[in-house]
Amino acid sequence: MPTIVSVDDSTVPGEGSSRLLLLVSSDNKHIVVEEDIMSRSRFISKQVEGFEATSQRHAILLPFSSFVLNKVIEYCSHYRGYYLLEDDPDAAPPGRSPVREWDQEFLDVDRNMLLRIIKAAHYLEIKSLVGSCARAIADMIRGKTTEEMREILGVENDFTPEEEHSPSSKCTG
Amino acid sequence: MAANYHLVTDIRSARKSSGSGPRRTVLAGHVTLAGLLQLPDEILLQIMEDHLGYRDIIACLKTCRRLNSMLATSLPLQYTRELAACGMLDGTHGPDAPHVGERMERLRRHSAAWNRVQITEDTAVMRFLGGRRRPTRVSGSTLLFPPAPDPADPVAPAKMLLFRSASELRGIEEQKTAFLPPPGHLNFIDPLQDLSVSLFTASIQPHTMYYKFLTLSSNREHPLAYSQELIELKGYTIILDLLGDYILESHYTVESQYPQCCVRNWKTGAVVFEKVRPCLCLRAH
Repeated sequence: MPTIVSVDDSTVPGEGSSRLLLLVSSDNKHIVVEEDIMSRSRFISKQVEGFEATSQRHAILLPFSSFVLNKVIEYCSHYRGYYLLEDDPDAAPPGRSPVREWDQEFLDVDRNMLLRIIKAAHYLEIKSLVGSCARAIADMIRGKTTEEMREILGVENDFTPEEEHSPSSKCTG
Repeated sequence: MAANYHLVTDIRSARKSSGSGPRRTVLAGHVTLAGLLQLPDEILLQIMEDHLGYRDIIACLKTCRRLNSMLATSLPLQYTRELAACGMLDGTHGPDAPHVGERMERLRRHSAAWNRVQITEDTAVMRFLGGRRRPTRVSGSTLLFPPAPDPADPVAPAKMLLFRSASELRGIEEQKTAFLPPPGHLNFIDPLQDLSVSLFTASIQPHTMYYKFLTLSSNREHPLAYSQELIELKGYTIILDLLGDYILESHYTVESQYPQCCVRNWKTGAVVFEKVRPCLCLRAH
């Protein structure tokens, strides 16, 4: 666990007027990123608000690896300055995320990675990324039979035969 | 402190630092997503609620207890299923929504189905299912066949067969269930309420009849029935109809010349209407 360090803006070269954030991943990698890239994350925004209130800036510790964190930063960099309705905290929640082609290519990763990204996006409260990941995961399980679904999820059928075949019990819907 | 600083200012350097993650490979067998169930419930629900149709939801509900109990409580998922059972569509906005022409077509088909009574051409289903048996009860699209021994296992007790035909319009799939007949004479079934109503006569008093309310699924006492005790009914009783909470019974007694009908609430046991005009069925209005 790294100790909390304070970041002095003058020691790190910055670009433009955006301030810098120090993010620390679970594998103890320190990643410096411009603040406005990460402003899409509600979690980070709240942290920054906290910094401003106390006028003390420190590293933000995150519970996932640098591999995942870099992927999330890549996403945020791509949409830097873009307005996405899902990420607007003041807008009404739009329901499902729209199809974004870039996201589909971006999320063409292995399944474990996809699950790690959605978890990280959930933690960081990036709704648009959670939505796009949810769409990608749903595409993998759509149109499967119950038996196929069990294989995919790696679960055992733990219903009694009675429950499974009942015509109107809750499990048949 | 050995700090690794990566300055991420634009997309190109971010790409470089993320490395080339393993690309999705096509597996010969099934794709496994074992970690999916370790995700927070909130995310799992979002995946299902936002992107899956009723068939996928039903398939998920049947996989295991954990997923079942989680998904069964979700209001949006219940809504999706109920909507599908009514043959309706939702989500008329957004890129995935069906075109207005397709929605209109569905609406027309749905209302046309009610305007025209039609004898199904598919009689083979019934012959195949029942053999020589004829269904004793029909409730909606559900048929109940009387007990018959299983040809594969003649020693086993004869089972009744419940068959629900598939309906594209209502978005339900075909289903067959065999179950042991309840004691007494099975009079009515209501698959929607998981209810079978049987009447039987106690041997001591031949003119006293008793109700038995069982569930179709488990053949045990129905939890919503007003009493599991034996209920004495006046005279010889037959059930004429069952609608929701109400049963229309008809009593034949030695004293009166005509049968007497009454309506009873099977959940509370109260007689709602007594001595109603002889009638044959109950309607919602």
